[in-house]
Amino acid sequence: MSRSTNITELEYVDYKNTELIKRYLNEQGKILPRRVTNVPANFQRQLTRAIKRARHLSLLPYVADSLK
Amino acid sequence: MSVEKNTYELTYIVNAVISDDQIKDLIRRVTAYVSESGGEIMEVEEWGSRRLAFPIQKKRNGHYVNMYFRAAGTMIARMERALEIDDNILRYLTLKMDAKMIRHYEKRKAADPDAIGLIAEERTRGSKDRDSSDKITGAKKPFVDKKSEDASTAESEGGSTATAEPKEDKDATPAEKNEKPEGQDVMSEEKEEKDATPAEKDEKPEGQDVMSEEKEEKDGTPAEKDEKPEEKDATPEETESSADDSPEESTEEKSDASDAPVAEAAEVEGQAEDREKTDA
Repeated sequence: MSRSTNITELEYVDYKNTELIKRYLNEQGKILPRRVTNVPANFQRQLTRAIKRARHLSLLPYVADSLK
Repeated sequence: MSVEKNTYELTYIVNAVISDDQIKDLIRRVTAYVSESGGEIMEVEEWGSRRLAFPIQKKRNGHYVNMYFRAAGTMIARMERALEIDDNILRYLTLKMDAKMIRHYEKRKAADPDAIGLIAEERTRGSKDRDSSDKITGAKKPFVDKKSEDASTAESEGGSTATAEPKEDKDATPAEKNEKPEGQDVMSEEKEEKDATPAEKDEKPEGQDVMSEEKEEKDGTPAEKDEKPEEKDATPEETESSADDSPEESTEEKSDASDAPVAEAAEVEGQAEDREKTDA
């Protein structure tokens, strides 16, 4: 599965899909900027929201020494 | 009720320290509360006990419950208040589902009716290509990890947005090497739960550790106690070394860091030997 098809097919980024979301975090668990991720603005916004939801539910760390 | 109903998704984390019966009872109570206050339960799914990404109220594990229901908006606030009051609910997240989310939910449900939710997703993924999950696994088996890195790079390079990819991959691969030790616990834990036979062979020592750790945590929290002394030990050492400029600390660190590469090299040599043997 290539990443590009993933993105265009997705109309909603699910906070439960941590495998997908993790690709857009650096190893500290920070959200990568759009200049790095190179994804559509809409996707980046949804991603950010999903990441924050996942963090709230402790599915992803707010801060980490080494994620992944 | 002629009130307009919305679809909601509610995920909450139950304290995993309490007994299974208590957890079940609590989930039943939450579900009953929703249905009694005019909600139609669409689905209740338990993800089971998972390790939290960070401790919440000093708990390291939580029992996740994900449910979908249709209800009037007025009951959400009351329900959230009830969740807030319950001490055994560590976190909750209520989302009103818009058309897109509902479509997404139905699509996932249609794709795999038995495997909605996080755990199920990981389970299917784990069985299909375990490599991707191994990426997060132990540093003690660099051989398997190499494969996984190949898989991950191959996966990400497949797309047409690959222009940005190479950079990321370069960043990602060294990072993964450094990060292996951290993820160990979690992944091997999950594998234990899934009864994965092939991957376990490599991991048996680790897995056992994790299991014992888990048990300890359930019994009380001796595991946490075990960890803390280590940290305490570590800090004085560091301060000493910085004060004395003792070379011990640095050499130790170096040896730790170079462990994995050495192991890799050893395996490569081993392979070379094998080849020689076959040639001979």
